[in-house]
Amino acid sequence: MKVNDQELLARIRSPFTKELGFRELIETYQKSVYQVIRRMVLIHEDADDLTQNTFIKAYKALDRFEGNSSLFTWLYRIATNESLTFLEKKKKRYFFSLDDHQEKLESYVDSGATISGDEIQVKLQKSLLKLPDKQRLVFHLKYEEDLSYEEISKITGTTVGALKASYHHAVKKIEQELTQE
Amino acid sequence: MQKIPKQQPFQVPENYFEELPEKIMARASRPKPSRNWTWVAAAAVLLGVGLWQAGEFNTSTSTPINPDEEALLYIESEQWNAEDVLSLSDNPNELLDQIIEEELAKSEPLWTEEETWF
Repeated sequence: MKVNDQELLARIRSPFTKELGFRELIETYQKSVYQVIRRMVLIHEDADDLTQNTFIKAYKALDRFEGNSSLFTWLYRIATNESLTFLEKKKKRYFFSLDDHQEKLESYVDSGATISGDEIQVKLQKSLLKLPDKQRLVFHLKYEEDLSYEEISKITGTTVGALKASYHHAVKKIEQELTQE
Repeated sequence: MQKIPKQQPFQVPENYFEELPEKIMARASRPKPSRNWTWVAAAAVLLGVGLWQAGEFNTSTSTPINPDEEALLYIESEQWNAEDVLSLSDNPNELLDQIIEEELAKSEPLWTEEETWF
C-alpha cells in the first residue's frame, strides 16, 4: 500500500477528518473509476450511477479494508464488479422485455454519443461489444489502462494464466473484426 | 497488435467531475431506505392486484377457492406467464429489478478462481 493511501485512510478513519478524507479519496480516483466503468457500460448516465455506487460502497466498507492491496486496486475491484453486475442484470431483464441492452449499446455507439464519430473508433467499439463482458474487461484493463497482469489478477481475483489466455482471445477476435471489411 | 487503435477518452458533461464529489458525499450521508420495506410494498401491490384479478376471473365459481391457489393454477397451467404476472403490478420494471437483485445476491460471486473466461 502506498504512503498516500495510508495517510488518506487515516484521515477517513478519524472522526474529525472523515468527510475531508472521503472527499479527497473521490477527487483522487473519480476519473479513473469513472473511465473503467464507462468503458464497460458506455452510457454516461449508467456510468455516473455506478461510479457513485462504487464510492458509496467503498465508504461503507472502509472499516473492513485491511490494506492488503492499494486503494486503487480495491476501488477498481468494486467498480468492475458493479459494472459486470449491472450488465448481468440488463441481460436477465432481456428475458422479460423487448429492451435488448446489447442493441441499445450498439445504437449508442452508432449515434457517436460515446466518442467522436471517427469511423475506426466506432468500429473498435462495436467489435469490443461482441466480446463476452469479462473478456472485454480484461482487454480494457490490459490494453487501454495498461495495467500489469499481476494488478489485473488482484482486481479480478483471477489467475495470471487465465487472464493471459483471455486477453489473447480478445485481441485475436478484435483484430479479426477490424480487418473484416 | 498495432492494428488495434487505442480508445479515445469518453466525453463527460461540463463540470461533471467538479460536481461529482458533492453528489457522492450527499448520497453517502443520506440514511439508506430499508430495502425490505420496498420489497414488501412491491410484493403487496402485486399480490393485491393479483388477488383482485383472480377474484374477477372467479365470479362464476360456486365453490370458493383461495385466490393464492387460483393465481398459482393460472401460472402452473401456463395461462399466465411471467410477463402477465408482472403486468399486474403498478411498477413491473421496479419489481423486476428488485427480483433480479435478490436473485443476483444469492448467486455465486462474480470473480472465481476456477472460472474460464474464454
